[in-house]
Parts: sequence; structure tokens; C-alpha cells
Amino acid sequence: MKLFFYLLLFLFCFSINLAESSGQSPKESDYYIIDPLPIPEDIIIEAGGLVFNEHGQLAVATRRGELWLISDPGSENPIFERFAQGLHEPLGIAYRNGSYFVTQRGELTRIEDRSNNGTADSFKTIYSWPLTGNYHEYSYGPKLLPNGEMLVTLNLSWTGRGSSLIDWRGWMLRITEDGKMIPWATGLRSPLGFGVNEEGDVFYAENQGDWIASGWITHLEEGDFAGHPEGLKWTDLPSSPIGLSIDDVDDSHGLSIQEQAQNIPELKLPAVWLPHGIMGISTSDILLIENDDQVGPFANQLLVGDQGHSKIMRVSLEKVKGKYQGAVFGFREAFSSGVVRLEWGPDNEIFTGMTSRGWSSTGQNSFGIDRLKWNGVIPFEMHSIIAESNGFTINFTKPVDVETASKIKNYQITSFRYKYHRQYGSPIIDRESKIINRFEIAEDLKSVRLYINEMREGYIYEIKTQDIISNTGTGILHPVGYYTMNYLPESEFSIALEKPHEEMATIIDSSKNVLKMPANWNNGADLTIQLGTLPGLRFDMDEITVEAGSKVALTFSNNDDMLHNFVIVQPETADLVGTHAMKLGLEGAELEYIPTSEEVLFHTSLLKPGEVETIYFVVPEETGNYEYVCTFPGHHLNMRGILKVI
Amino acid sequence: MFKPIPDRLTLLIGFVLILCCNRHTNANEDISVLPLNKISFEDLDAFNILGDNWKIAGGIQSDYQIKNSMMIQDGTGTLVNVPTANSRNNLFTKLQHGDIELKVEFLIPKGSNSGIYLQGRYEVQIFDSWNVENPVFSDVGGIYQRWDKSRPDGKKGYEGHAPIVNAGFAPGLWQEFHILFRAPRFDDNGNKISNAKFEWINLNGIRVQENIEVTGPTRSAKFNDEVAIAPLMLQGDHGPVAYRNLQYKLFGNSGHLSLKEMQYTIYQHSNRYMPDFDTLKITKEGTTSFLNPDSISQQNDHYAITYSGELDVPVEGNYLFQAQVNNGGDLYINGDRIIHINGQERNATNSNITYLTEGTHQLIFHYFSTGWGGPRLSLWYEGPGIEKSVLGAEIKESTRQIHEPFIIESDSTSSRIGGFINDSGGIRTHVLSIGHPEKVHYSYDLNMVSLISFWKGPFADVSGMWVGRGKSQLLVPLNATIESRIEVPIAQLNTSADLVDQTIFDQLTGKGYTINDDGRPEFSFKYQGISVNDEIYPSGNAYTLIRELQYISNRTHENIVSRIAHADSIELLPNGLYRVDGQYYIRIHKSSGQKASIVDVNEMQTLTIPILMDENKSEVRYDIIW
Repeated sequence: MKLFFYLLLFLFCFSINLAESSGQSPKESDYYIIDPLPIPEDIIIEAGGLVFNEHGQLAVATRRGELWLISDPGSENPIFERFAQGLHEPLGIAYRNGSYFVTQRGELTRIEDRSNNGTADSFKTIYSWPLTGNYHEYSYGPKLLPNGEMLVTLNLSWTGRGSSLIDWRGWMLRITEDGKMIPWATGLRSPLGFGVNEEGDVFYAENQGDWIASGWITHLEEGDFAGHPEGLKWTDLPSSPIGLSIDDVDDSHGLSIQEQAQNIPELKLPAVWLPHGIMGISTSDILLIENDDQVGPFANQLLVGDQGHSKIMRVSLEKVKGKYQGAVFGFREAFSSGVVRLEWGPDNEIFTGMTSRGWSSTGQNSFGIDRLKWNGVIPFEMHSIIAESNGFTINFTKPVDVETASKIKNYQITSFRYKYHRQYGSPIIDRESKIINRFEIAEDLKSVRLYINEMREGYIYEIKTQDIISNTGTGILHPVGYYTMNYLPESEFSIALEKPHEEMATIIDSSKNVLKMPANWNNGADLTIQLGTLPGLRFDMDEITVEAGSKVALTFSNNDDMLHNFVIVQPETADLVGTHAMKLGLEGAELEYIPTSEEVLFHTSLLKPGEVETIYFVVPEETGNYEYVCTFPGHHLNMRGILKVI
Repeated sequence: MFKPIPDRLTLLIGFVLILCCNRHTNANEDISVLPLNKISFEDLDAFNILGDNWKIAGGIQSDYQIKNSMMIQDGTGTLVNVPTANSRNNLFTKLQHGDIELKVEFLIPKGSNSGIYLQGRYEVQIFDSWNVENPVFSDVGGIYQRWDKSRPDGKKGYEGHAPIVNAGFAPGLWQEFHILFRAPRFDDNGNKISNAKFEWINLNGIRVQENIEVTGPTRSAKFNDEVAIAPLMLQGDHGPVAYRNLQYKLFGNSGHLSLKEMQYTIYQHSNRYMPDFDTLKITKEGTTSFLNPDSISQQNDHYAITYSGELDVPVEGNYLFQAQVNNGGDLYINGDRIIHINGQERNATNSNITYLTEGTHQLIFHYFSTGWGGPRLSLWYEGPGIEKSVLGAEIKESTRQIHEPFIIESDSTSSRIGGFINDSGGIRTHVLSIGHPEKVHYSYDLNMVSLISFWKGPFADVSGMWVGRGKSQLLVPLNATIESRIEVPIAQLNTSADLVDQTIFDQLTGKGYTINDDGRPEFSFKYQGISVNDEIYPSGNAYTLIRELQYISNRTHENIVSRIAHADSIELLPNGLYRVDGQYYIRIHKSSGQKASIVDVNEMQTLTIPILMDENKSEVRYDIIW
């Protein structure tokens, strides 16, 4: 038990000094260096799986069905050799004793080079599963378990919603090397990433969609149901470890997932939510930090990749009431393409397998492999957040500066949760800013204990430590963490202070989003525009020409399978507005990613897949090249066009 | 059995179909067009007879290696031409045609030549162009050149159109043309105002001509003038040929269906089922000339509409109606429900055929939209002499991205690609396709351990897989494909019912393939302790495939057979080859010493060879020729 040196400060008894310095502002690149692995121009490495063999070669499975072996992958002159071809979109690879294990769309395959001539010559089916032909039936893995078995996950099909059209779609399967398959857990929607922590427990990463309000990682045990009901279609098959039926899951009562779990014991709550748009938009691989020499003092924590935001996040976990829960923090962004796979290299580099074909990413390359290396300098970070019955303890990687850490306004806590429903995504609901009653700084200056009232189970807590600096004057690298409070620890004692909480509301400026034809448009609109989307994050028109001062009715049909909006902005401000939208944080979802700014002229709502909205606006009198853009986080770099006012 | 490369439009529709049908749950046979009219080959009544070189026959066989070989069986159903020194006439239909959709099968022996002359004037060439790599206008699928004697030598022939690709098969196999032709147009004074035009020609399911205008009759045409209607001519003066299944539709001059007095009522409606309209709240009413919900609704979704009005029918006959809606819709004509789409799928399509008399009919369309993709209602129709067209809607440009082809060549080395294959049974999902520099290629179902299809010439388009998200995941062969319909190449033959695949499919283990020293895959699996090895490879530069099947067991077996073809009909030809469905030949190499036999199974036929009877290793080797 840690000793706290007592430093009690009440909320109202300090003054605010706005002019205070927050120390030097650190950058991720001060600690973690991204170095793209050079790939010859004629080789397309749309990486779906990465693994090292015992010769230090990096084996890469690509979406075009090839396996490449890269010798000296850490060097400036890596050598590429094609090892295999003819696989069907492999999205994962493992290696053991001379054999590669690859998950293709329709089967788990063992691949070997028996003649030892440097190319694969044996492709043996270990286990094959049926497919309907729906493109969304991705299959991922395998991960090798210590007992020799392998884990594979099967994505849901897409029929305007996540559907399980055929056996075991939406499941994690356990498969033995001799081809015996044991269905393990379901409730999965788009389980591209999964991994094993130091305890050998399995976690998978989920992507936002119907029933899935936001990305998450969940600890999966045999018989678990993670939340998307479609996979429950197959629970009447004899080998199913779950008896729950699809009809047992009902969203008509407006319960949160944590409230539903009270009625459905099989329903496993996410260990950590990754709030959508803030902690990524398309969660990918999970990688265990094995020791403190790899990326800093984060041994046993997990890294989680994100395709759309081209970044990696870090997760600290603890067990409360026997279940994993914890916090997610930023770790490193600005990879060169969509991060799909994470793998440790021999020198503690992280190799990222990347592709963004079909799903654009903030990293502009369509594919690649980046190498991420820690330079040995420990960043000042929240190391972890620990739940307390009446607050949190924040552990830092370095001693804090007592002065900045003693200002209660430097800690901000907001709790919120999501809806659990068949619709795509969810707004942030029940948001409350929490009042911190008091805090304590630990004797070693590396922990701060925060006391707050009315801790609630089933909520996510945003914890901000923006202006706290280390005792050597370094600013905090990632000043925000999100803790998922499924279970409150048993209380030691409680100090209950009656403080009303503030209900928070965000208001969207409705004059920029007119959904009914204005009454004074007697002759209707001068121009009607139909706008749709193209796959790969594009509008179906790159340029729209309108007359200055004309009345326009614009119908935006979101015929894509992810969320989009349409925002008209002042000339040359799409980047500004898009970047602003990405930084809206928790308010983002509520504002539908429309920043409150003069640059934004008109916009639609944030449309779910298949939704359509017509907005009415009068074109500005000033001619010029205005821009339009989707400001959903991560989309603005590609999804934009010119509104030519003549 | 022909596997067409879809054109762009059908590719787009294909995307939609792929989502809703598959091998496991085959959708009902989709009627999307009216049936064609057949010309009977029971007798020659449909033709104006000139001479006796044309006659009605039953089956036709031909030795693909012997010039002009034609073995004619008595019977009906086939129209055959064997020209002699005295009689080598062309054949004219009594049918006169202008715009026409034409479908016909033909068989041509080695070295022979014929042609289909639209309006007796514009020739689509039939020729033994077997294995010609760079076809010209005079090869099969070409539009023959025009001829002007007054031009200097070497320039007399002009305006020939080579086929896009040589989609022809070997001599003695049945092939198929499908043609959409437009006759020339004339003004009231008889002056030509537009040329005759081939909208498209498909040979064996592959587009070989597209959008080709012909400025006048081609060489050897019967007539030198051009007219609005004229008979079809089958060329009989060059060499032997056979035709069967001649079908057509004539278009033009019947006017169009039109909607009149259309009224609409919009209701609030939010669930996914067709409502009882009497109970709904009306939000808007009015008149319209279109069925387009976008143009009248103020909401984006969650509403229902009833359209009701009059349908003006210009000529009596069978009409096909086809609706595509998001989400649900019912079409009623005169109170009968013609089309029902229940709204449970996105963008569902359904169609039906109904007989309508000339005059005015009552039309009602009930529609509802509940989101997912936005409102969409499109209605098409086709009628007697009327080409398929849109009824009562503004045609919206598709916003779907059309991908450029992503062509995989196999010029210098062989290519292996994993990807779905579309065949007559739906989508095959566990498939490896192999392209060879020898220009013969095949697809193999790894799960069903069966050779599924083969083709020659250019290899494959993978844009459905490797561009964007790859929503179809299809590998599309770039030439006319034969579906082998061979399933698992082994069976336990106690009764012929054992040849139905499901009975053994669950007993197959150890599937996979190895790459041999020649860089070719050898597929393998086990069945009842028998190890089966299956290798398929090009035979030098002969444009044929060789298949080698090896069966090894630690004992002898009874009633185990190698199964090498499964088809509607398998014929043993006098030259010892088997002709499968009239589509390809099998030449069995004498190796195992056992005799092949044709077994009838469930109204189909299977070609089998007994194996492992008194040996514990059997080999079966055969050529596939097409």
C-alpha cells in the first residue's frame, strides 16, 4: 500500500493563475521515431499479417494473396523475396517450427517450404469454413496459443447492417493443428485485432458499427457474448458453448450495455472503451508490451492500433471484482498508412503492417510498413489510471511538479456512456462533469489520488491532466485518458460531499443546418443537387458549381458503410475545419463533428450508413472556390471537394 | 454452361445480386427479360428453300481433326448444311426483321466457314478459328469486311471488324452467338438517315463486338441495297455447318407504355413491413407523372406511398415488369398483385410477366422506405416488340464507381490467384485460379476438390478484388469459359446415387496442394484411406489441358471409380473421344487399363473409370480439348 503525503485542497480555496507556464510542450516524435521500411517500387505490400521467423526475416501476408519474406527488415536495405502467391486476402499470419499459419477468407492454412528452396511448396488446409460471397466476410488470425491451438475470428457480413449469414460469422474460433474446431466466443462484429496479455488472457479489438457504439477491447473467455447479437444465430448448433439466443437481446428498453449485462450473464462488458473519433475510429491489432525496455515503463500494458487514424494507442488494465477494466491513452500517431498489424522486431522496434485500400486513413500512403523505435527517453505520461471506490489514482511515469499538480483545476473529469442499440454508432449520452473534492499527491510524487463523488458503474471517465508538468519541467505527452468503469472497487471509506453535478449540453447552430425549405422560397430552390459517396472515402462529385446568391437544396445520400457528414466551408479552410473537428474530443460526437466556427457555412447532420438528408442554403454572394468536406474524424484529408461559386 | 464475362452494366447489377444470392441459398431463377421466340427446327417450314443442301437432322458429330467432318444423325432439332457441287445455297428465313435480338447455337467442322447475315446483308462470321491468337475480321465473331471491286487491288476489302477476343471453341463443339442488331433507318423519302448497327455480339458468352456501325452490306451479301426489314440469311455456300436453338425477339413500332392520371398519397410509416394503408396518417397528396419518391416526398425515409393511375397499353401481349425498390413495394395491375417485394432486403429486385390487352388498365404501386440506402423505386417493363425500358421514373445516373479492369497477365510465368468465381451454381468461394504462359487457364475449387472451369487466351480481371474494398471478390476470366461440372474426382459406386457429391463430401480429408518442381500445383486429399493427387497443366503449345489423377491405397478396393466428367450428356465419338455437353472433348490416355463408362445419374451422365480393383495404385490421365 502506497503512502500518501497528505495535501488536502478543497475546490474553492485556490486562485487561478492563467498566465502559468505548462512547461515545454513535448511531441511524440521526441520519444518515438517512425521510420518507413523502404519497399521497392514494383512491390505492393498491402499488409494483412506480419510475423518474424527464427532467421529474423519478416514474413508479410498481403491482401493480394502473397507472402513476402523480408530479410534485414530493420536495415536501410531490406531484401524482398516472394515466398508464396495464390492466397485469398490473408489477414493474419503466425509462425512456428518452420510452418507459417495463415488465415485466408475461407480457411486456415499451413504453408511450408519443404524443399527448402526459398519459396512455399506446401499449402495444407487445417480447417475450412463456409462463406456466402459477401465481401465483408473477412477472416482474421491466427494467434498461436501456448498449447499449440490457434485462434481465428470471423467478421460479420454486411447487408446494410452487420449480419451473420453463415455458420460462425461473428465468432472467435479455437482450432487445433489437426483441424478440430471449437467455437469459443461470439458477439463480435469486426474483430480484426486480437492478442494475449502476459497472463495468457485473450483480448479482442472491436470496430464501431451497429450495436457497437464505439471501438473497444474485450477480454474473451469461452462462452462469452461480446455484444453484437448476430453471431447468436448459431448457438443452437451442437458445438456452441453459449445457450443465449438472438431473441434474448433486445434494445427496446434503452438500456446501456452495462445495464443489459445485469440481465444477460453471458454479455461480457468491454474492458476498455476507445471513444470513437478520439481514440481512433477503426481499432485494429493488439500488441502486448513485454517489458520496460521496449517503449518505456509500460510492461504488461497493451498497444492497440487504428487503421483510419493511422495511430497506436496504449491501454493500462487492472482487475476489479475479478474482471479486467482500465484506461486508454494516446501513444503515437502519424504513421504513413492505415495501421492494421503490430509486431515486435528483434531490436524492440514495432513493425506496423499497413493498408488503407478501400478505407482511407490519415496516413496518406495506400500501404506500407513503418518501424517505430523508442529512443530511450521516458516521456512524462499518465502511466496508468486505477479505479478507487471514490475516485481514481493516476500513476505518472515521472515525479510531478508539485505546484502544477496541486492545482485542482488542472484535473478535469467527465463521465459519459453510450447507447446499446441496433443503430450504427451512438451519441455520447449522460455526460457529466465531475467535481473533484480533494486530491493527494504521493510521497514519491509519481501518483495523484483524486476524490470525486457519485462514482457510477457502467460509465467511461475522461480524465484530463492538461497543465501538469513533471518536476523537471516537461509537459505531459498525452494529457487525456479514458477509464472504463464497469465495476467500482469495494469502498475503504467514503467522504460524501453533496455537490450537484453539472448537466452538460452542447448546442448545434441550426441556422447552418436547415432541413426544411424556408417558407420564403416561394419558387422553390434554384438548384437541386444530389450528392452521394464512393467507396474509399470520397464524395461522388469532386466539384459543384453554383451561382452566387442562389437557393440550393442539396441532398446528401450516405450510401457508404460508415458515418459521414457534408460541410461547406470558406475557401481554403477544409484542412483547418477538419483538423479542428478531430480535436473536438468528447464534444465531437455531440456536435456531429461540426466545429463551432465562422469557417463553417452549411452542413448536414452526421449520417449513418444509408441515411439521406436534404439541406437548404443560400449560396454566399462572394464568388470563389469554397470547399466541402466530411469532418468525421480522419475523413477530411480525402473526402472533400470544391464548391465553385460563380 | 458458358460463363460470360459480364459487361459493365451487368457487373454493377452483379454486385447487388452477389449480396443476396450464393451457392448455399440459391435465389429463384430470375426472370428479368421476356422469353425469346423460337424458330422450329422440326422442319424447314420457317425457311424459303432453295436447293437441297439444307436439311433437318438430329445430333451432329464431327471429328475435330478431319476437315469438313460431319456425322449426321436422323431426327429433328438441328438444321444442317452440307454443300455439294450442285447445291450450295444460302438459306433465308420467312421471318423479316428490322431491329432484332438473336440467339443461335452453331457447330462448325474443321476448316469450314459460314456466317449469319442480318437482313441478308450484314455478316457475322462463323469460321474454324480454333486457337487463332490474334483474330481478324474473317475469324469467328468478326463482322466481315465490305467489298468494292472498283478499288485498287489490296484495297477492295474495307471496314472489316475483328472480334475483341477469339472466343471460339474447337471444331465439332456447339457454340453460341447472341446478337443485338439495329436495322438502318430511312426518312419518308427513303433516304438512309442512320447506318445498320451491331449494338453488341457475344460469342460463347463473351463480348466480341460492341457498338459497331456498318455503312452498307458486307462482302457476299445477297443484296446490295439497304432496307428497313428483310430476311435473315444463313450462309450455305462455303462449307458444312449446323445450327440449333435459333431464337429471336423483334423490336420496334409498338409504341410504349405510359402512365396517366397518376395520383399519389404519402403516409407516415416506420416499420419494415408493408402497411395496412387504411390505418396510416396521410401527410401529403397530389398528382405526378413519375413514380420517383424523391420528387414528391418531403421526408428522407420512414414513409409509405400509394401511387394510383392509368396504364396505357398500345398493343396486347405478354408484358414483363421488373421493380427494384428500397425498401418494399407491391405492383398491382387491375387489382392483381404482379410484383411483391417485402422490404426485408436493401435494394431488392423482383419481376413477373403478365398478359395485357390493348387499352387502359388500372395501376397501383404501394411503396415504403425505412432507411438503409435511401428511397429508391425503379420500374422497368418489356413488351411485345418493345425493348426493356423504364416506366414512370426519371433515370438516375448510377453513382457507383466503375472500376477500370485490373488485368493479370500470365505471359512469362504462371500466376496463381485466390478469389471467388461466379459459375452457374452461384459464387464459388474457395477457389484457386491458375494462369499459364501457354494461354490455357483453369479454376479449382479447393473445398470441393474439383476442377470447375477452364478458358484460353487472356487470363483474368481482378478489379473486383484488388480495387477499392474489393466488393465482389471475383476473379473474372477474360475469355469464354467452360464449366467442367466435374465434382470430386472419386466415388464409391455401389449404386449410381453414390455419384451425388454430398454423399462423400464429408468424408474428404487432408485437403491442400503442393507446388511441384515444374512450379505447378498438385491438389490432394484423402477418401476412405485412398490418397488422391490431381494435377492439371497445359500440353505444350497445343492449347489443351492435361489432367493427371493418381490414386494410392494400401489395399485394393471394389467399386471405387475415378470420376472425370459430369454433364447432361456425354457422347463417345467414333474417334474415341468423349464429347461432354457438346462443349468440350475428353481424350483418355490408355494407362490404367480399365475401361471408361458412361453412367446415368439423376437425369445426368457421369464418365467413370474403375480404379484400385487389382492394384493399389491407379492413374488416370486425359486431355481436355475445347
